[in-house]
Amino acid sequence: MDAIADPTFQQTKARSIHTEELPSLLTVVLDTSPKSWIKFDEETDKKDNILHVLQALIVFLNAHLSFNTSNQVAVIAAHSHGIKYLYPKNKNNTDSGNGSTTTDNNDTKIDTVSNSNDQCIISPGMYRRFRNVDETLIEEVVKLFNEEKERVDKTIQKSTLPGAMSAALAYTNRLLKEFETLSLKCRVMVVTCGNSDQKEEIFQYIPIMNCIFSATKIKCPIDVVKIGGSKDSTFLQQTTDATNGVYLHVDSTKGLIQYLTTAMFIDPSLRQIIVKPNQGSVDFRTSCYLTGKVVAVGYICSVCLCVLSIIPPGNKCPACDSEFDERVIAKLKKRPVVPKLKKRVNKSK
Amino acid sequence: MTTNLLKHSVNQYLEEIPQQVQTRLYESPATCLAIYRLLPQVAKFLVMSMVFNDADVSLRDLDRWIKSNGKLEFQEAIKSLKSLHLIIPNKSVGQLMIGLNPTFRNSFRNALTGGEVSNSFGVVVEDDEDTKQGIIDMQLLDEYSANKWETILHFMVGTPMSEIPSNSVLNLLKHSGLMEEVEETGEFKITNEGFQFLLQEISSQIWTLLLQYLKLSETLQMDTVEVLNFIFMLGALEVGKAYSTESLTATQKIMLKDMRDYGIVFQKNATSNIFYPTSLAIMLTSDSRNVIRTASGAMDSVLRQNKDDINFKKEDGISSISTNRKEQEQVGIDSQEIQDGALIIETNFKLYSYSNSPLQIAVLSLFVHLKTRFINMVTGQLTRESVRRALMNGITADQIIAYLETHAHPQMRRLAEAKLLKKKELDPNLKDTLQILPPTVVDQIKLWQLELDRVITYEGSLYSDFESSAEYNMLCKYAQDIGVLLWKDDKKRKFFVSKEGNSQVLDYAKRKLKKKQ
Repeated sequence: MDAIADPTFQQTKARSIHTEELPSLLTVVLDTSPKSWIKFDEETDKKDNILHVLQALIVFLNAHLSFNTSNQVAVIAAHSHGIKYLYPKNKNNTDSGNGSTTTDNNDTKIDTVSNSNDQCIISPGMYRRFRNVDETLIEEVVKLFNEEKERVDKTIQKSTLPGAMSAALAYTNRLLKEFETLSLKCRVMVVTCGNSDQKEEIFQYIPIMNCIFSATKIKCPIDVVKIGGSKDSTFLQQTTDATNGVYLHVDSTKGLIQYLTTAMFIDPSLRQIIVKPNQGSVDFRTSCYLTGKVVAVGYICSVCLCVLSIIPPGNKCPACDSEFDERVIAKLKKRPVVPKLKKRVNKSK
Repeated sequence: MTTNLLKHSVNQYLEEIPQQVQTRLYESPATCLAIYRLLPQVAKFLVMSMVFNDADVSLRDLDRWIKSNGKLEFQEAIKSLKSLHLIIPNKSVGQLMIGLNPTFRNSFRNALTGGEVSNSFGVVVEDDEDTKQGIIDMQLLDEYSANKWETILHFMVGTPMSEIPSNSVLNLLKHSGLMEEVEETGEFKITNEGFQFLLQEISSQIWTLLLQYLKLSETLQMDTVEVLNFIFMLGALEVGKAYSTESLTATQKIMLKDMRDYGIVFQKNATSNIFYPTSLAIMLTSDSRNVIRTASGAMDSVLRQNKDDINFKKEDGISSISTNRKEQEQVGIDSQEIQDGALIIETNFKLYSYSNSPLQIAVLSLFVHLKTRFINMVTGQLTRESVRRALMNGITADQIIAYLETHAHPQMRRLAEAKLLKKKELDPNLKDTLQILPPTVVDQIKLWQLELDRVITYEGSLYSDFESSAEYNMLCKYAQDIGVLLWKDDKKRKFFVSKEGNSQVLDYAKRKLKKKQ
């Protein structure tokens, strides 16, 4: 039947499909948690690394916008106390989870500060589409930094990066639906910094896994740029591997723009024909649900597939609360027994 | 896609410009940005990877970026970069090194970083009173551009109208060969090219005219660089903002008047020193499919409004209509995005087009046998007669197919994409491409075209009067082996070879026959 439905005539433009020009959406997730950036500053003996990153990022966003007229961008910051949309601007002006009574006052004050600031950074003659994005971005970043200043004393919560990634995917999904007729393509780029604590990273495992699943479902590659830090981030590496993204580990912010405009500039429409610049092999191990250790061999709950490195106390799965069979547990707890050699004396008799 | 065609033609024009002129062009950041957008995808990637890298890169390193299935695109990209002189080969060290054109690199960097752009992106008049008071808003601009442009197209289709495009437009139409003047009556008649022109997308239409304008401007001693800079600048402006003419050169001020006639810019009056770009201007550097506000869409909204006004006058059912409109506004995003004239074509050759603009219908009627017209759509059928009529008019089958493809309803596109995906899942090595239209329809249109050329002529030579059948067989076999044999008749001992292969066969015959003697 298929043979009948196939066209008789050779498609003359057979190869054009590889590089069909479609607009694409780039969502950048930027890790702005001050702790890791300060640590990184100390490690590299340089000041204001994050500013260098921001500068490179802005140029990179412009580059993305220049790739196709209908290209879209979005930037989400993962700061110490939540996430914030840097671009497009959140119109409701609801700040995530901090006291809303005083914010109104602050906003007006900060606005004036940022206005005087951005005028010296962004040249007024710049291409309008770039300028609109860049100005909003800078304004929001300044606001964010001022908010962070006030929070210095408060205890720092755990990393918000997975949350920001989820938000980025949710935003991507929404825009994909909205611009369905344009057949918009999408990708997410995560910019993170330094060594997050081993322990802290481990608890990101499940949220990151969820991000991976939703990203593969909407066919959205996730690219990761990790700046500084001696170790590769295992889970982010897995993310890029599963979503057909690019993982890049750079040691310093110097020349970052060159990395961004080459390795990170592979448009979704070009993914099929461009070699991904991935380095090394990916560590596919997962983490234990209870202790957070990275495990190579462990136990798995037969109901929810939760991975454990020890037999959980109370014989209950910590994730889904299903009770384990006592006999099985007993079997697992049993030490390996070395079977004794039977005496051959009897046989010989 | 016709957009590729458009890019091709613009690029071709740019490639033919002498290098000195090109270099002068690259001094403007806005032009660099526009040219960058016109490049093939792979070329864009390569250029971006070199912009911030001062050192030369070797061609081999660039080649390593591309997987084996993209080599063809890579070659094309390099070729077009070379002919635009964007990359400069440098063969000093053993292997072939290439570097980006320094002028281009500098300007493009400035465009990206907002460095020294010096008015190349236009000068915005911030305190323009007309925009502030809302006298000149998006709607007015859309109306203006749609009106101007559709007047030109209507004139070409031959719709009786009160308004005739201005002399400069008529002149351009004549010079581009889209229309010809009948000598006795002085009337304009549409040509074959004109019919083809009507089927193109709006962005390619604009460019076709502008390229012609460029050629004309050369004869008028206008500076190509200034003309091109102005065109590319228009593409980079923001719709709905007021721009000052002060930074423009004298040539560009003259151009402004012409651009006004095409509906690309709006001016309150000819002497005003403020101009407003319209959405047509934005289309200069982008594909119209991707521009959400198309001119025809704007036209549509104008029509809808007029209809509402009429209904209001009738004063019956006001409430129902106003709620209707509200609903339309609420679902506004969706209705705006589906382009005007989105069409569905079935395997039985029936065609439904959601359009009520007279222009769209006129264009469709070029190759469709239209049957009924409803309030928001027309239905018709592709028949042998209707398609043949179009083919006789000089429209090719490929153009009809391309038109149908680009105007296909998003639903058709999605269906095709889903189908392709399913096929690909079954067979990952599948080389099939996206088929938006039913294959039967596409094939049939092509078959109808083939019907027209039943006789194909070849130039070549006839070999006859052989002495023996061995001699005939030997030469005939040789001709067949090298693939130049077009026809043979064993009984009569005659065969025919194409013009290109004739000398080879002749040589062979001389060698062989000499040996025998």
